[in-house]
Amino acid sequence: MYVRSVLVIGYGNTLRGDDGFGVAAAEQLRETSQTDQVRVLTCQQLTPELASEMSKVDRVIMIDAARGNTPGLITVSKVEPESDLTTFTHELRPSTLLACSQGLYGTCPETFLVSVTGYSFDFSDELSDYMTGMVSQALIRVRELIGQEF
Amino acid sequence: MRTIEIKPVTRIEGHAKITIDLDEQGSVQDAHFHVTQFRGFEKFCEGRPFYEMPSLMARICGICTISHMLASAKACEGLMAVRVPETAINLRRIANLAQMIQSHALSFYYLAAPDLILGMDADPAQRNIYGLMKTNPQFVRDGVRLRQFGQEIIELLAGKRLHPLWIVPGGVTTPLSSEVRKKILSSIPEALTIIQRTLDWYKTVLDNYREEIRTFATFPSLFMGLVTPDGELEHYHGRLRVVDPTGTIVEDQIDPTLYSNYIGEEVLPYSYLKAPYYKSRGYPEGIYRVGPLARLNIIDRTGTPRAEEEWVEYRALRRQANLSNFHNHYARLIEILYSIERIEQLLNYPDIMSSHVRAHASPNNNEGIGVTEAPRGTLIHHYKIDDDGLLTWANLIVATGHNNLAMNRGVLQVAKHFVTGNHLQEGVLNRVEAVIRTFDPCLSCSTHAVGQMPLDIRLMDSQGRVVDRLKRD
Repeated sequence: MYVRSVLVIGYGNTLRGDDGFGVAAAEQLRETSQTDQVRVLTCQQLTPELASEMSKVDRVIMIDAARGNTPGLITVSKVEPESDLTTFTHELRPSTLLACSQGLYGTCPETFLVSVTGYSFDFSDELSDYMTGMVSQALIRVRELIGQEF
Repeated sequence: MRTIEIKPVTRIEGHAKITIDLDEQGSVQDAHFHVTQFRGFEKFCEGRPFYEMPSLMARICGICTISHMLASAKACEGLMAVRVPETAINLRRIANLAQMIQSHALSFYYLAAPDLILGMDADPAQRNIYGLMKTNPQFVRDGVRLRQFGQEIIELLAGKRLHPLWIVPGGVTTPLSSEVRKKILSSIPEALTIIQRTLDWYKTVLDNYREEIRTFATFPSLFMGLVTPDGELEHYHGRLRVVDPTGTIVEDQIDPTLYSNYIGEEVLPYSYLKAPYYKSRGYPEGIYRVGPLARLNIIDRTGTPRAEEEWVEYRALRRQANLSNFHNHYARLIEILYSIERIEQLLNYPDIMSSHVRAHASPNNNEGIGVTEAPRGTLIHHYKIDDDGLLTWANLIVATGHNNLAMNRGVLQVAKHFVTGNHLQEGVLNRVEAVIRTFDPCLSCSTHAVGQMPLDIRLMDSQGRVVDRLKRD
């Protein structure tokens, strides 16, 4: 039986409070759910090198913090490849990264973004109490996506 | 006098801008590269325990993290008067060379190549790495792979790619495992193939850039960097050497801890970036350059076989020191090749997996100096502490600082070539941007934009009226 592979990428700045939500969630997932088929990566921001990693799997799930008026709001969206020619190497968007995977390696894995609205983005190396409690909620959605049929 | 102002406004506004001063006849009189960003690491580290410095200073840069950690740790080791185990030194060397590879690959493949391959005057919407993906996908894949190669080595050695806590005063926290050693060694042939492919291609197209080689910060200056006692390429320890434009050695085997006897620092009224100069020649005549171009100008040989062959061919371009900053691109490729070869050599040292990788000591000196070669050039950390080990003073001289006077000179050269009277030629935007890129200055992200660098150039008459303007968002 062909075994599907999944890459989970949690990203954000861990020195800006809830901006590190994606990293915190991915690190927790790594402890419990990393297998030969499910690989977990964390990084501060999306860079072109990740396109190579994405091209090797069947499904990619990105976890990121978002700004907004409803802290804790979890949004799951499907990412479509889109070449955004105005972005910088230091802050690629998921859609641009997917376009890089497609353009460079000819593969476009099914990609989802799990985005969670943060509460505080002030200088801190910890999540706010509120968002700490949201990690398990977000991971429920991530695990659903990992197990979802292709 | 009239002033043309160019403001690169990128991810964080106000990092740097360029002004070009015209005289009453409309001829370019002077040019200044301003760094308007104030970061203040030298001040806010005061009062902190010295052993915090490597991890604190690493935050100066997201690209040259390892270099800052190394220079800082070496300065701390000067304070401790401790002897770092040889294996720890060699593991640090590997990490530093891995960083050299990933940084140089970023500079060449992602930032410079769109100009080189698609043309300086190509549509900025296409003149970027995404444009290159369409026209030269294998080239971009090669750049991505080399970046990964460097990043993976750092992650394998140090636990993570960015701001690892592995380099500490006295050594490193963990030794090299057999599995990691094998993994790195297994990826070396692919990395060598990639860089050789790029070098072979670059040599075939070099002749296309004769105009750029002639005009991109091409002027006489001194060159400085570290060399081994035998005059070979050195990025970790070594002694400082200074050569003049003819390639003649004017200072050699300088103990880097005596840097202040040889380097003065001028504070410029228009910039937060100080302007170091070679003291014997005074300011501003003591202009010197550091970085890949300088390193390949000062050495007698590289120290690895394949890089040596390439360096001999490169040096044949000019019998004396290579004066064109454009050749930084070529020099970076040779340094990538050298770094890959050198990492392989170091991994085959008999003691490279020794578990003795850290020495411990309390402070024994009140002053310590650490010097390394970062990707962009010589990096100096200098600390003073009180009897409780708390920092009382710090001085950092980073590569972009060493190159400050040269960057001003380079922008002036382009301005003289492209600015006439009351009219700004479109080409000045791209050329100024490209000249700055040859230095690859580390001003956070201000020149690390993919493709176009947002610029605003204003031509002002002597009454302050705008007579011409070129703007690109």
